[in-house]
Amino acid sequence: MPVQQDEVLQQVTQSEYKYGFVANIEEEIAPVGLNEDIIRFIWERKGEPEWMLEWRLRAYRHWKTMQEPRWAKVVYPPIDYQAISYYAAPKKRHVQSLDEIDPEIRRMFEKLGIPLEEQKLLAGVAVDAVLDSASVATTFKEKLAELGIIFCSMSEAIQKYPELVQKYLGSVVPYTDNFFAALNSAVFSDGSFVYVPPGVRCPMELSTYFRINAARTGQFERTLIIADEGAYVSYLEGCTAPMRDENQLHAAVVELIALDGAEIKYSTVQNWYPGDREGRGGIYNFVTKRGICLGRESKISWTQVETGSAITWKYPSVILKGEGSVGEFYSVAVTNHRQQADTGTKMIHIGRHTRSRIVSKGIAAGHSSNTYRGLVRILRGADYARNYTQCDSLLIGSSCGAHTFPYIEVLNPTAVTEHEAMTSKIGEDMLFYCRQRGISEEDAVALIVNGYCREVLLHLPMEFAVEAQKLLAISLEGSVG
Amino acid sequence: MAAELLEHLREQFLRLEQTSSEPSELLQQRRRALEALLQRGFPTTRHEDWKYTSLAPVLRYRYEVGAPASEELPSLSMVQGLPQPQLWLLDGVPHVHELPAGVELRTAERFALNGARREPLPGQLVDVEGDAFVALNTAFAPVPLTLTMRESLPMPMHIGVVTQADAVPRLGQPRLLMSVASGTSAALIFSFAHHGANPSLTNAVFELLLQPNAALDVLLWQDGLADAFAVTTLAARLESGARLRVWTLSFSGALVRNNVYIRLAGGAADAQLYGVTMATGQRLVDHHTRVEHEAEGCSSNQLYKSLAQERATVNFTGRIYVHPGAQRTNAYQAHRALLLSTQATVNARPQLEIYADDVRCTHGAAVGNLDEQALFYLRSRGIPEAQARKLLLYAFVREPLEALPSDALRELAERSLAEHIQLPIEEFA
Repeated sequence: MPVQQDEVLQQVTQSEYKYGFVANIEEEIAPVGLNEDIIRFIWERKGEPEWMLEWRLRAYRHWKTMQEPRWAKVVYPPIDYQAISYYAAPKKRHVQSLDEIDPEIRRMFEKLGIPLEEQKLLAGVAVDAVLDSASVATTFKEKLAELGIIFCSMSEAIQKYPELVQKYLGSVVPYTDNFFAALNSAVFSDGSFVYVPPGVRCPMELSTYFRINAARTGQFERTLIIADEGAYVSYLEGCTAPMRDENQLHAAVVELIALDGAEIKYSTVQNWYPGDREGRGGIYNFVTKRGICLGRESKISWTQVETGSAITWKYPSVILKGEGSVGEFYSVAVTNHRQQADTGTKMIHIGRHTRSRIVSKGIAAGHSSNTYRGLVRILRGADYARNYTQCDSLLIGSSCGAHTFPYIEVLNPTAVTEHEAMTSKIGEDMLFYCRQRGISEEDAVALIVNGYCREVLLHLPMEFAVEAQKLLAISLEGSVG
Repeated sequence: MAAELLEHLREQFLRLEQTSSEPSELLQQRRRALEALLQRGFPTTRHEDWKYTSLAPVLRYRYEVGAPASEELPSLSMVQGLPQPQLWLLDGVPHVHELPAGVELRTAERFALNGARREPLPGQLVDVEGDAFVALNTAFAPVPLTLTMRESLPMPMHIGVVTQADAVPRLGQPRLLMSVASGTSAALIFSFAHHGANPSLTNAVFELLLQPNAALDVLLWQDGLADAFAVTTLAARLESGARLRVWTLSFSGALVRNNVYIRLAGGAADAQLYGVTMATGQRLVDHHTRVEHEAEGCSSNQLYKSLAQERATVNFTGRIYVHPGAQRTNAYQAHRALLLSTQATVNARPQLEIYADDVRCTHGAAVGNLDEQALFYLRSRGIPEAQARKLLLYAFVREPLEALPSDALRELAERSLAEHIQLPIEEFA
């Protein structure tokens, strides 16, 4: 059996990152480095109003006073923030209709399996495609507009809906929040903006596809989703990048706001380039994602499948402020080769009768390090709050590490919190059982891993669940522990 | 505040150093420890290991170190029902009452011995310079002692740890390096007490070496601390096949920190940690455990149960660390707490850090309140509510006591626990 395992492992380690190509697109790239002039450059290019410049500069000045966080269980050489270009946008992107998109860009997204022609899309998914720093296309806009739903790029929202942007931008993740959020606030160039009006149930999945293409750039996108009273929206996010020897920084901020009775479902399949098997190159994915259940009986649900990135540092969180609001976090994080992930969630219970549920599945293989870090905080006023946390880790191979660092802080006697965690390998007995029934070792592992992640994958929309299962298979097929 | 205390400690150290007749090797270790302490200072809540425990109330006083106020044994009644201690550690200074057969106690003078029978210098199992309280203890502990158990003990040995603060605030710093010989078994009960009207800080460092196949039970019985402060660091290294069980019964003390650090260094070693915590008033009890699996086939288990009442805080941080190559590890950990008042707080950090794949490690942490249905059940059978409540609290928190080595000890611990809950246990016997 060991011989067979080696073979299979070799296949896995040799499996190529299939999104690693570079498209030859003409782009305008800002000079390398970061200072107030660069921020003015970005602001000018985007033709934003004055208040945005002030906000960006405030964020930048605050960022300069901050220290890069080093508490996460990840190791990387110091980042030279002056060696990155903070803006890269395709030159031909100001288009009146989808037909006018640069064919090169269209071909690139098609190669990624994201056709921008509406008729070809899977029924019911509207896409905002973001290439490097700029949004290049948003589909199904008109159809959504009929219902009053705003789905556009962040730049467009700043121009067209300044009152909504001014009210909510930075209200969940202020620029003072952390080092990377401050950096993002200063230099963010685009992202998606969603507003669902009261009582409207968004009829299709909204989706953003992020693609880093240019070299020596960082991607700093900003997403803001507002679900007004009684509204419902499901949002998907996917990402890929070319294979390069250098590390590229991706520092996004996502803010979700759910008013009374609203529900936001946010799903991510993160497949940034993870670096090669020796750990060269790959994306540093340092992301701040946070939602607030402002209204009564509102609900925010995060689902993530993390398979890419050299380093992942992200904690999608929910602030449960409205009475009876619900927060959920479902996560599968896979690390292989030299990947490092420190990911988890925060559930801050403020309101009465708030409930949260955390299900995290970590899978570590190769020489990787996979850490769950989560906080459940029940404040004094959160009467009858309820939390259930389950975080399991699976180790494949003896050179990887799987770690669990939960923080549980309870200040209310009527609250109930439960936390369970388990770390193990794929049981010989489970494998034996499958093999006995004529299932090959490779299929048995896939079956067991799939079963292990099932609870999370079930929460993904159908199209994404298929993609996620494929990704898991690529990362792990046959790697028997 | 902390700066004042550090300066006060530095002055005392210089005085003690001048009159010291200790061997130079030991003196050097003391000086290095003091320098490390002065340089790093005491940890604050910005320090990850002290995130939930502020030392501000402890560092307010200018503690006196050095020789105890009186050489006389105080007429203290330690844990009720236990025989008087066979060994006293009064402000860290040993007073031998009667050592059981097979137990040898030696002091620092032996460090000066040249040749084959040099004693190991204490500090092998703890972070002498990195941990502020271990550094403090290393710098000042009056007599580092080695306690060697060469034969199995038929009865538990009782060690009374007393800090006397009659005239001035006092820092009592017992230091023991204990070694249990191969194939023998023993039980040690450390009962903690504070004496006097001034505040005291007991800063104990106990190092345990368990030779192959040795078995040791340790009870840290913190019943007599009243409103004093205590930081206890118990660090053990287990050779192959050794077994260690540690109970921490934390019933008293205004601020109590218990560090239990276990290294399973030899194959098939086993460690069991138990904790029972009753926190009332404004008490803060902080349990910190670290179990390191360094060898193959070891097992460990941790079970901590806590009650947080009134304005009290209970913190629990427990880490299971599995080193690369420590295959076939079984490790469990559970902390369950009842939070019984709107002013009380429970913080839990159960942690797993794992670098080997053939393992089975689990942890669980739960915080909640009494089960209303169970309460209803008892009331429907005629038990008054107050009584029923206490009975349920008692039943919840006593679980770790079940494994105590003898019935007599278990009954003693149960009675003490029932007293703290104010449950007339006899009525239910």
